[in-house]
Amino acid sequence: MPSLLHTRIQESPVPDHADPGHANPGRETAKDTLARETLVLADHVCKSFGSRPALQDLTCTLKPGQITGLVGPDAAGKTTFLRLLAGLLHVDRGELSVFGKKPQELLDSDPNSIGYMPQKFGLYEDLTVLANLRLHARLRGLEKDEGEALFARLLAFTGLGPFGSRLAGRLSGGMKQKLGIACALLGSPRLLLLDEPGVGVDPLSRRDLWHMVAELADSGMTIVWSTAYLEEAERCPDIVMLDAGRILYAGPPKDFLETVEGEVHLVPGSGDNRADFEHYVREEGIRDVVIQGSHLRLLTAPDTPAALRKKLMSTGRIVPPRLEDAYMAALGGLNASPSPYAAASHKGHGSGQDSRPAIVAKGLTRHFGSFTAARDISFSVRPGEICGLLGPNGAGKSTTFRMLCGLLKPSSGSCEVAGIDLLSSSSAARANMGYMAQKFSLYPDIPVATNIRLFADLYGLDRATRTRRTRILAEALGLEEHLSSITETLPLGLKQRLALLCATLHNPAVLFLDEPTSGVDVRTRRDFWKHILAMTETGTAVLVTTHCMDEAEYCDTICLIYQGAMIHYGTPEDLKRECCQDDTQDPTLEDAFIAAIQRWHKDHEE
Amino acid sequence: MNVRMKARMEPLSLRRILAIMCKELMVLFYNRTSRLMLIVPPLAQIVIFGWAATMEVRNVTFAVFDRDHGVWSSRVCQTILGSPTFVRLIEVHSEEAVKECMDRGETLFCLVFDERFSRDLAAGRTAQLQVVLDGRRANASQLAVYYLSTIIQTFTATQASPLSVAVRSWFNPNLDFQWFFLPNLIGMLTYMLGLVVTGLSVAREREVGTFDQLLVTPSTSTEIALAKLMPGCITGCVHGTIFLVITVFGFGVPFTGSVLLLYLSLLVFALAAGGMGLMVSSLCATQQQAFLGAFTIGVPSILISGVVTPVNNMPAFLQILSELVPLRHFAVLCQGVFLKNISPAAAAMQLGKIGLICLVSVSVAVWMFRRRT
Amino acid sequence: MAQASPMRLWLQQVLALTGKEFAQIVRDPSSYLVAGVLPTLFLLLFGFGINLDPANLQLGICDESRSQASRALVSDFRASPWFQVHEFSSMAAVTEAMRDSRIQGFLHIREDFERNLLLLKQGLAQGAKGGRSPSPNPDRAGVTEAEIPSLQLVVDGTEPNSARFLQGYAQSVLLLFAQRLTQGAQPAGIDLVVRHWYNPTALSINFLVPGSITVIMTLIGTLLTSLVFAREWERGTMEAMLATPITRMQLLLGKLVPYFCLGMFSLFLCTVLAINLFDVPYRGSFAALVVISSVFMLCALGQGLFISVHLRVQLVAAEAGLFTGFLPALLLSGFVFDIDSMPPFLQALSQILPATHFNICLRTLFLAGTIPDVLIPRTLCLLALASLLLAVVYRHLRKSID
Repeated sequence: MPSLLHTRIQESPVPDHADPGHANPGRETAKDTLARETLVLADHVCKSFGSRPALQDLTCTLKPGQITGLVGPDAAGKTTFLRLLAGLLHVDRGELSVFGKKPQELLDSDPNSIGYMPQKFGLYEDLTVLANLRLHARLRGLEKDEGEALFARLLAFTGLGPFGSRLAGRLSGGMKQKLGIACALLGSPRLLLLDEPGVGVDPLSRRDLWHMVAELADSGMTIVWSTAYLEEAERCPDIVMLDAGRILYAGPPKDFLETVEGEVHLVPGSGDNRADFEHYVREEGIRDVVIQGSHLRLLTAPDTPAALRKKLMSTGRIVPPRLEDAYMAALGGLNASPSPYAAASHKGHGSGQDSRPAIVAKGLTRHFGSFTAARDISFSVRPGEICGLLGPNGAGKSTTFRMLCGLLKPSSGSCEVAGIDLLSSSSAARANMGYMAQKFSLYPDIPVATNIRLFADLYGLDRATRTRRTRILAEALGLEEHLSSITETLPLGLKQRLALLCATLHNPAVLFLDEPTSGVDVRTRRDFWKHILAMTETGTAVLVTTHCMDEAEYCDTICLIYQGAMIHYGTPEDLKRECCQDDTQDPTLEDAFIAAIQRWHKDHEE
Repeated sequence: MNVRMKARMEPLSLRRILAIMCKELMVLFYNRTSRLMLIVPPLAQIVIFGWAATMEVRNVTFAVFDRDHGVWSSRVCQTILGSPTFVRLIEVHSEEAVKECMDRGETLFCLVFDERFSRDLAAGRTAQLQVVLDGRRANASQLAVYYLSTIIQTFTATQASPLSVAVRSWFNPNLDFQWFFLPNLIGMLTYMLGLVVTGLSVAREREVGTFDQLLVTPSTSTEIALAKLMPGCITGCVHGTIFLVITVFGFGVPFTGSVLLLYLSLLVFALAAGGMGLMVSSLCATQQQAFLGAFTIGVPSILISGVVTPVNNMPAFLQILSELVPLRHFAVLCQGVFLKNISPAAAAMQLGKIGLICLVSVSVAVWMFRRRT
Repeated sequence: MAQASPMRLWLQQVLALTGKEFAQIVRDPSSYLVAGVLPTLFLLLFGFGINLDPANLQLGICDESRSQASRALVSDFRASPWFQVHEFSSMAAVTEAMRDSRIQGFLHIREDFERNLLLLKQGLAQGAKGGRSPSPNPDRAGVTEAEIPSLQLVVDGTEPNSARFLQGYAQSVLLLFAQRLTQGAQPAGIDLVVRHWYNPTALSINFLVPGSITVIMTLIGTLLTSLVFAREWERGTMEAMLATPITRMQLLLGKLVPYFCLGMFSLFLCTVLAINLFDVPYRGSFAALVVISSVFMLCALGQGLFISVHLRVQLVAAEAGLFTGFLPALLLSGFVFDIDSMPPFLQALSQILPATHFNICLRTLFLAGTIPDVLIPRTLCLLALASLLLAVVYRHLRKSID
């Protein structure tokens, strides 16, 4: 078996574009043999924890020798399904078989046939990279010399070679994930289960990871890749889409895409994206609106009025649908009700181009010991503007972000929020800002209303304002009936809305968002951005960090941070133009992002 | 520079402090783990210390090797058995049996009457009674000897010493161990709660991520630190009150001093404990570390504070070290208020020491807290 | 792949787990704290700090007699090793000192001390001539003499233990004084001849240090083990382990062996320290010590593993470890507080604590020697507890996460 892996890694060329759906004809026979035995079959699988159902009536088959994307928002049941497959959990009702056996039996008889990487990678962070590999090799029963040879290949394969003696805890997120996969690969499994390998990983590392896994699939391994990102799932030849423990769709993505074929229109904007957005959201017959550069991506429904359809056809063109479009269509489209932020925030922060910038960063630098995490970063955000802070993991993005919202003192440089210096009058400056953390960070043990009240008090709202704002926002965000429940018991989507409510209760001039929508489903994400866009209309400035490039499309300016320095600052269009001159005429922001970083490397080699 | 000076003097907002404090208390009562922390340890302590753990000896079993078989030896044994301390007697009949009995640890001590015991007494001579004690339980056996000698003295009715001395015990006439320990328990409990509750609350926020959310609001780190001190302080005082009631009404320990003084010092003392807890938590990243840290500081400082064993018995360096433990001074004050009706001068002295420790610990804690954030 | 023999493979997997655990112990700060800092701290504290033998008892003396005899008595007190004597000129001053806890007790010598002493001497001399025997009279027990004694000893009852010791020591000084006075004329009565077996000097350190070894080993076995298991759950490594071919027996062994070794190492360290630093005698056989400690260590580990199988959060595991392991070992095992003096339900509780049995064994081994009558039944108790705990752990350690 190790020899198999050997051939896989030796022979398979790095594919320029990953498309594991098309098998390499050269290896057809080996693949066929595997195909006969590789089969995952789920038949009406149910699993619940206590009274809470995690999976209901799950029926699907996973095809051998390819990557199956297991896609869905957080708490949809992805992890539970993977744990069932790995034999770590028992099925409550229904049948589940892997290679024709129950997972538990398989774990007893042939445990090496499944490789499983859990969500937190399952690495011992206080052991070195090699020690982690060695441990798994010995647990999998590999002989010493045979193990060592395999390590060398795996390290080369994952690009971890130079870091063999580094502690696993000190690797970057992307490298940890690769190491996690390497550990799971040690038993030369036929089925590889990866639980959210793409989470918290920047596009660059994600693409790397994808190439790596696609290579494995190419050689006949069956892989289940769970993810919350639809664009990640779109690349898989086969997907299982989960929502709240039920299957929304199972099969090849293209069949799913066909449901909205011809319904996706790309129309040029009028120059004011926000206004266009507002307009189309309210338009009858439009199920989804996404800003994409200077264009708008619209999803129509079969019952869309013909007049509108004609109008769209005339101004724009029909583009191939994406998984997101199909998903939105399957869920019934976006919530068209207007955002309360447009109405509620009467008090403008002075919109327009002429007013003073809301956020100013001047030469921000931060050292940690001898390491410089951020070097001389300067930019400004005007009221009503959305600025995206992008960059791979460990590039200095969060250091910059934390300095800007006053969580970290810069070693030198200064920053200003709403015209107030953050260093000298931090309290006054902070009174003008709202903050939403990446991880939900309101007090989980206390009732929702108490959390709201706490932040109202901390921001010094008087009683009348507090009551009024709470009422308006809670109603619009659908939190009314949850005000007295314990915060922890809310589902993720509501928690995220609550966090938004608490951050905007005092109608801040500046809003800081740290990966605000990671793990939530697309519809909630749409809603969220609708609110953010509404707020910018009243003059709120927004600084956002994100790994999701779709989200970055909403930004007016993008600040790309790499190796502790700002390597690009401008509009998304600028970035695309600048980095992908020779490429296809409609590059995505992700392409631009990767191109920018590659270009930086090229420039710095010289 | 001028602007920076202004920053240092940003006014503390009472409203924000109160808001965070309220939240702290809510979290304390809504969170299962912290609720458990509030209920279980105090309950366990009242059970263990209220009834069980005692430095006295009770229910003693002893062996008797009677080579005398006379009237006096059996009378002595009967008198000993008549006292509530000694409940069971094992008769042994040989030297070997004595040794075996002692080796097995069945008895705390063994009385050996020699052949002439009754004869000597009858003849007006001094009779010898040998007591063999189990040195493995040296403390209990020494106390047993103390009881034994008291019984024997009353038995002979003549003082062993020709000098008659009247022995009195002030403040605690029956030398009741609980009278000593229960007031100390108030201090111990407040101390541990202050350390653990305060220590954990900061670490929990760091772990959950709510700390950043708090730091981006207008509240300053000094405000947060001060607000964080309160819940431990309040719970400490509430528990103190419960124990005060139990001690006075449940166990009948006299309360001779001023309630006002006790509460004043309890408050200052709880703040000092909270300050120490805050210091611990400024150094810790996770709740587990904070808990272990509070434990590592708490238990040893309780042990050297004199609430378990007297400070005087300790070597000099530990006595000096124990001056730094607020519990030591509070225990003295508490004992004084309960049993001795402590004089204002002495009370002021102790209170001053606690206050000084409180001031230092709180300001260091706030400083460390600010530096960390 | 080349198949090793199943036995070798099995062993190899256990070794891999053990090796990993050791590597983690070396790198983990909390293992240093729990296995290194805390044991040393406690051993030193129990060795030096917790001392039940009173020394430097602060005794006030208010000498109103100011006679030759009273000065002789005061100097007797000064010469005694137990007391630190403070002289006061008035009762008011001595009362004040007592209230402020500056002294733990005082001796009040009245003006008539010397006169009474002379009378007493004469009386004794007459009694010796007349041969009258002050025979013991049980019927008169409790009746105090009408004569007002010219000596009064007042103790501060707030610390009852010290008060008793002070009382006892003061009386023995007075007895010696009286004996010298009467030039060896023995008063009749019962003379208690006290002998401490096993611990002739009756030093509390001799029984506290073995006891503290129990506490320390409980700390390592229970607290540390429960922490490391919970940590694996928290970090998700347990899930990765469960997806590999290892069996629960191997998983259990992989945790047991390293912490067993760590516990035995600290036992060794503590024993060496106890014997050399604190001069505690060791009279038993070392083989017995190793055997009994091993069994106890298994109990403590079993308890730690039991906690960690059920609680998967480090904080909760630490709390449970302290409340079920450390505190009972400290308070209920007879370490500081005598078990016989506890109420029946706590006595019963203490009998199911491994620490109680181990504590008794350790004290016997250190102070008395290898006494099979004590050691064998206790060891059997420990063995039963250990197998019970480990069996429960084995049953509960399902190879799945629900």
